[in-house]
Amino acid sequence: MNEQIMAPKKGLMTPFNIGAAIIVVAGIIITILRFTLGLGAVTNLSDYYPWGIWIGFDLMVGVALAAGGYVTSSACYLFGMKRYHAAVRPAILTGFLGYFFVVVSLIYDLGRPWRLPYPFLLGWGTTSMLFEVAFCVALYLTVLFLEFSPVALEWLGLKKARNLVHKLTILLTILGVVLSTLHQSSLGALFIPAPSKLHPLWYSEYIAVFFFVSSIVAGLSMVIFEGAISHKALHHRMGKEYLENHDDLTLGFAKAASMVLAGYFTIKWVGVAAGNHWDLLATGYGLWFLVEMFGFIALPSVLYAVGVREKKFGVIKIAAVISVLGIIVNRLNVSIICFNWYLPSADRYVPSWMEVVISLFMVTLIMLVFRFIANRMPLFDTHPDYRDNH
Amino acid sequence: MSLSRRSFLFGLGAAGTGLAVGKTASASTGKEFTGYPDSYGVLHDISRCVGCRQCEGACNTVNDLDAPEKPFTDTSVLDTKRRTGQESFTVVNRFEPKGKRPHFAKIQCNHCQEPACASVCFVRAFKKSPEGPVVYNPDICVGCRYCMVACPFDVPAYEYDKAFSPRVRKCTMCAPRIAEGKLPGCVEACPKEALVFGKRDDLLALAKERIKKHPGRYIDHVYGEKEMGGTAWLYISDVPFEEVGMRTDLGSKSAPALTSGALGVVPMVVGLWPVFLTGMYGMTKRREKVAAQDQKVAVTAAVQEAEAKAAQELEVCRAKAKTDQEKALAKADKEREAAIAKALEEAATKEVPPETDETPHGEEA
Amino acid sequence: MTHEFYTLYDHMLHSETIIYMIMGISLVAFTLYWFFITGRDDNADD
Ligand code: SF4
Ligand code: SF4
Ligand code: SF4
Repeated sequence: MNEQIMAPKKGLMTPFNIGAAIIVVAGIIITILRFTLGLGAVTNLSDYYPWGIWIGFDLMVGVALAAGGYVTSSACYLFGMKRYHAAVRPAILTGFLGYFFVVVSLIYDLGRPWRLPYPFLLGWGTTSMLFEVAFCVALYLTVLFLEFSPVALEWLGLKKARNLVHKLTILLTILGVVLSTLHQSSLGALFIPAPSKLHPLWYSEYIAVFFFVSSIVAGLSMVIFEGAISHKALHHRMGKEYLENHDDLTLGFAKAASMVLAGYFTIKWVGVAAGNHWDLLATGYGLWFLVEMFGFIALPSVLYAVGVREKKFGVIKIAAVISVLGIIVNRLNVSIICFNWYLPSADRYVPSWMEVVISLFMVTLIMLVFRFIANRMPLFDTHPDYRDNH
Repeated sequence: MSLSRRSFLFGLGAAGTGLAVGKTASASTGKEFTGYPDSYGVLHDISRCVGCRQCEGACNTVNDLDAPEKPFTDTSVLDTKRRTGQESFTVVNRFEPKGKRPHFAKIQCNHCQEPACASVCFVRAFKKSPEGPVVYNPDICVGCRYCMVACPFDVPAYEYDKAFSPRVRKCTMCAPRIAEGKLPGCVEACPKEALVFGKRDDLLALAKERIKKHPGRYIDHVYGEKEMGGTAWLYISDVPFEEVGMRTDLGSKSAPALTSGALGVVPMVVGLWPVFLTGMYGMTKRREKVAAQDQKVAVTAAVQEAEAKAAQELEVCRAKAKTDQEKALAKADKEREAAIAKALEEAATKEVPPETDETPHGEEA
Repeated sequence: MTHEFYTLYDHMLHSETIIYMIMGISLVAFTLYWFFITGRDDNADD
């Protein structure tokens, strides 16, 4: 596998490759343990905490951070920001990989993963928010796959198929936005039936809206963040169009992210007001809530704004990193840290090292596959044959 | 038959039947749902419980669960607070409310009237049966454990140690025994009649009657009448419920009622988002079209202008070229004359003149 | 519907199942309808 994933003209023994190799080996061993000995053998899950980091991080954070796909494609195709066109392909690919590995993580987490199709075939538990999430994720994964397929088809030289899929671009984009709106918000709505278990500062009747709005922040920030990384690592693969518009795109997305964060900041306070939980701000959890509000929402919003005004790309990158961390913090807060907050510390959940390794394993696999594809397929560049065809 | 024991409450008469059953309203129909009529329940009188753990033992037997490390007669188990688990569908905990004798409370699945576990299960593995018990079907369960996340009473447990056939485990209200006309194992075993099995409506009436009959003894609240939309298992107590480990902040809204709002938005998004987005797309396209047209016009104008300018320039050039040519010709003529004159002069001074007719300067101007 | 629902859960299960079917049909129908609307546009695509 390694000789396939290495970037041209680079040695095999880069620190990244060595780290990745270690994680992959450990991941494979733990995978075997998980599927032969059961969840109990590798996780710290308990009856109080049926959902650990495989749900709280891999699924909740994974889905949010994969929002770049729908955010970028809708900005470009629906909202007329044609100049962002070059950024659509990498964003769609990260989206697709993100969702794909969300499903892979789910297979690890489900008690009987081979029954994954049951909800659609037998169950139809339509009263469940999870049914909606499952349906949307399954459909959206298909949409992302189709949206990404022109890249692979260009690479394979299948012109007819490529042009056929290309015709569906707008349709797929609209479908993608509808499905993303639904399941991004429904991930938050998963907690709506359990007001007594989530800390009141995080539980809100608006939690679905919070999740949706913050997914836009996540999408924008991830595109900026990934753009910065890819720019360094994969510069040799980037087409003229991508490179020319890169700064423009960063500024545009930073502006948008700054505004969306400001809106998010506002509605989060509306949530506190609606529940009249002001008194809770003076508690330990309240302090943690304030850290999230000011450190991970207000701060990156301001940094984005300053970065845009001063055209300081370094500041924008820092803002993007803080925003992404903010999403991670928020999703972990809702699903783990502030869930069952009233339990004594002995009953609280702390992930086992093996759970952490599996999560890292997923992240590593995403990066390796992304690099494999970026080094081969026309990702940051359109294939020469189709250049004026968009 | 065991049903004749006093733990089974026969139709207590009309004392309060249907008086104040847990009600859940649907926002979409305005209709109120009162639960299955004549469904069963159990009343747990916490003031009567002595913590003997016989219900735990009976439950273990009737459900064929693994034997625990310490026998059910060992009350030292009560020193630590426990919860339900995969091999213990019910547990009794000891509480020491301030200034009062130790109290004991039994927990198990409450068999909610509007079960959170059922409403969140995406394969409908849980079902509220018309008889009252909330029953689980392991043959269809995927193992997502959302039911455990949603249960407000922290009841379901999971078999994390099983790799191939893990199940959610919880009290069944002894549904198989009820179907046979028997009492639930725990109710039958209780030596103090702290547990009474019967129709939920009747139990509710009984609970209220007990509270009324002994003024000052009970807290004036039937736990489970309204909590989370009401539960089949009801509780009365002589100490505040939070002092015996029960949550009093659950509210009366049931899980399906809580979810219905968010769920209701879903079809609105599906129905209207595409309308909005195609509109957005149409506007964008229109703007692009107009921009393209404007551009076209601008381009033609620019081209015309450029052409005119070019023609003009050409004219100027031509004129200039003409005069230049004339000038050059004139110059050449002059030079030629001068050269001839010079040559003639040279020829005159020299005896052997070179090829005279050769002019030194080009004259094909 | 003549069937009586005793619990909100049963009621929701029934109505939501129908709603999901409507949503599924509407997504397909919407697509076809869109093609119908734009069918005579000079440049329906791109
Ligand atoms: S107590 Fe929990 S497990 Fe039992 S019916 Fe209610 S929600 Fe379900
Ligand atoms: S774990 Fe099983 S019973 Fe519980 S919600 Fe998931 S599929 Fe349903
Ligand atoms: S009703 Fe049956 S299953 Fe439930 S606690 Fe009692 S004995 Fe156990």
